[in-house]
Amino acid sequence: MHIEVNKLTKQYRNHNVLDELNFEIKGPAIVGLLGHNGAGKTSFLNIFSGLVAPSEGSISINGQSVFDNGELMKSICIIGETGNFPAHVTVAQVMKLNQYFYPNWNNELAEELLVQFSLNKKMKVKTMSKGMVSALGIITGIASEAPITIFDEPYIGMDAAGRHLFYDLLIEQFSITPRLIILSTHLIDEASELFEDVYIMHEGKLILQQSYEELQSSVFKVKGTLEDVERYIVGQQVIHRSQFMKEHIAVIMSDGNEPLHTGLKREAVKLQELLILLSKNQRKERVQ
Amino acid sequence: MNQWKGSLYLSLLSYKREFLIFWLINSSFLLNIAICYMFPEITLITVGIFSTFIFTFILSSKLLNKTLSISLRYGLNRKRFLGSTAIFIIIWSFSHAIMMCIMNSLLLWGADIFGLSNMIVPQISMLFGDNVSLFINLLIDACVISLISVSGIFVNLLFYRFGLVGGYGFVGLLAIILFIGVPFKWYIPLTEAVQGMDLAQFTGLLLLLAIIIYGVICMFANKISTISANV
Repeated sequence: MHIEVNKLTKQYRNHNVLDELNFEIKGPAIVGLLGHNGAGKTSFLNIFSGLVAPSEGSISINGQSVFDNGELMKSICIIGETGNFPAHVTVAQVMKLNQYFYPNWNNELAEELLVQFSLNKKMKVKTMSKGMVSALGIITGIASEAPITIFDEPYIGMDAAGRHLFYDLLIEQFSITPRLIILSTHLIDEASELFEDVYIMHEGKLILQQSYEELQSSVFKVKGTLEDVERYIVGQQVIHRSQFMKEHIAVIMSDGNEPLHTGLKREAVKLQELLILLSKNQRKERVQ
Repeated sequence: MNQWKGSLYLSLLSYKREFLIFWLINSSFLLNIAICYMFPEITLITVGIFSTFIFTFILSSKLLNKTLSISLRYGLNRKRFLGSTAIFIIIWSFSHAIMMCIMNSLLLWGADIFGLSNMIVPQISMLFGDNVSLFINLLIDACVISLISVSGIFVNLLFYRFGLVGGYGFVGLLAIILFIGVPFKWYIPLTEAVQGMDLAQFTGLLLLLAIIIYGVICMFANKISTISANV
C-alpha cells in the first residue's frame, strides 16, 4: 500500500491548517502521527479519510485520489475522539451498522472484544461513559480489519488498563491481519513502542519523518562539561542545548558513530521529549 | 448493496425515536372523536396534517447535522449519501402519509359511527373541491411531505455550507420577496395557475418541485465536508 501526499493544503478562514504537505506513507505498518495541539493532525486525517476536501493538493492511495472515492473510503476506518456513532443507538445496533459498512468486519473478534472491554450490548451510546464510548470505538477500529485503520486520539477517558489492552490488541491483530494503522496520540511515551514510523507535525507542516528504530539510534543526549560537549557537537545537528548546575546537555541527531569522549555521558531521548524540543525550536525560529 | 442497507438503517436509527414520539403525540387527535361526541355544540378541526408538515420540516432541517458526518465516516461517498437520503425521504414521506391516512380513516370512521357532523378532517384535496379516496389523499400527502422534507434539507444545507450569514441571508431574501410580493400582488399569477390545475397536475407540480430542489441540493453538496460552516 502506497500513500502519497502531494502539496496538501487546507485553509480555514485565511488560516493554513495544512501547509503544502509532501510525504509518503507505506503500509502495512503501525505509524505514529504526532504533534502539538493545532498542529494539523486531525485536519490531515479528516482529508485522508475523505471527510473533508483539501483546499489544494491531494492524497492518493495506490495512485487513486481519496476524496469522494467510494471504493477507497470503504477500505478506511477512522475512529476519532468523538462523533463516531449516533447517540441514541445501542452497542448491538452499532455492531450491526459496522457489519453493513465494513466489508471485512470480523464479528467474532468484535464479540470477544466486547467481553474484554466489559461492554453490554444493550447499553445505549448516549448513556455510556467517555471511556466506554472510546472502548466501543477501539473495538470498531480493530474488528473492522479495514486495510487502513486510523485512530485519532481514540482512548479519551480510558483508564491505563484499557489503554494497555488496546496496545496489546493492536500488536496482536496487526500480526494476524497486517494493515496500515495510523495512531495519532498525545500519550506518546505509552504508545511509542508500537510505531514503525513516526511523523511529527508542527503548525501544518511535517517536521520529521523517520522510522522509530532510526530515531532511537540517531537522536540522543550528551551530558558533560561545557568544553567536552562543545567539542563533541562540532559538525552535528544540535536540536537543543541546556544546562543544569555545572552539567551541559545537548540533544543531537546524528548517525551515532562518533565515539564519546571521556567525561561525556550518553542518554536516550524519549519520543515525547523529542517532540517537545522540535516544537520549541520551530516556535523559536518563527519568533526570530 | 450493504452500504445502501446500512445507510437506510442508519437513517432509521437516527430518526426512529423522534418518529415514535411524534406519532404518539399526534395520535392524540383521535381524542377529537370523544370530544366532539361529548360536546356537540363545538366544531373541531383535526390539524394532525399540519403538525405532520411542521414536524417534517423541522426534522429534515437537521438531517445533515444528524447523518452526514457519521455516513461519511462509515465510508459512504457523497453521491451514495445523497442517493440513500433520497430513498429515505421517499420512505419517510410514504410512511408518514400512511400514518396520516390511518388516523384520518379512524377519525372519519368515528364520525360516521357516532354521527358526528361537528368534526372536520382537513385534506389537501379539499382545496380543489374534489372528493377523492383515502388512497389518493395518501399519495398527495406523500408528495407534499417529500416537498417539505426536501425544502427542510435545502435550508439545512444553506446553513451547513454557508453558515449563519448564508442561511439567514436566504431566509431574509424570502422574507423580502414576501413583503414586496404581497402588496404588489405578485402571488396572483401563481394562485391563478394553481387554481387552474386539477389535483393530478398539482400533485405532479409538487413532485417536480421536490425533484428540482433535490437536484440543487446535490449540486451544492458535492464537496460538502463533515465540518459545518457554523463551527
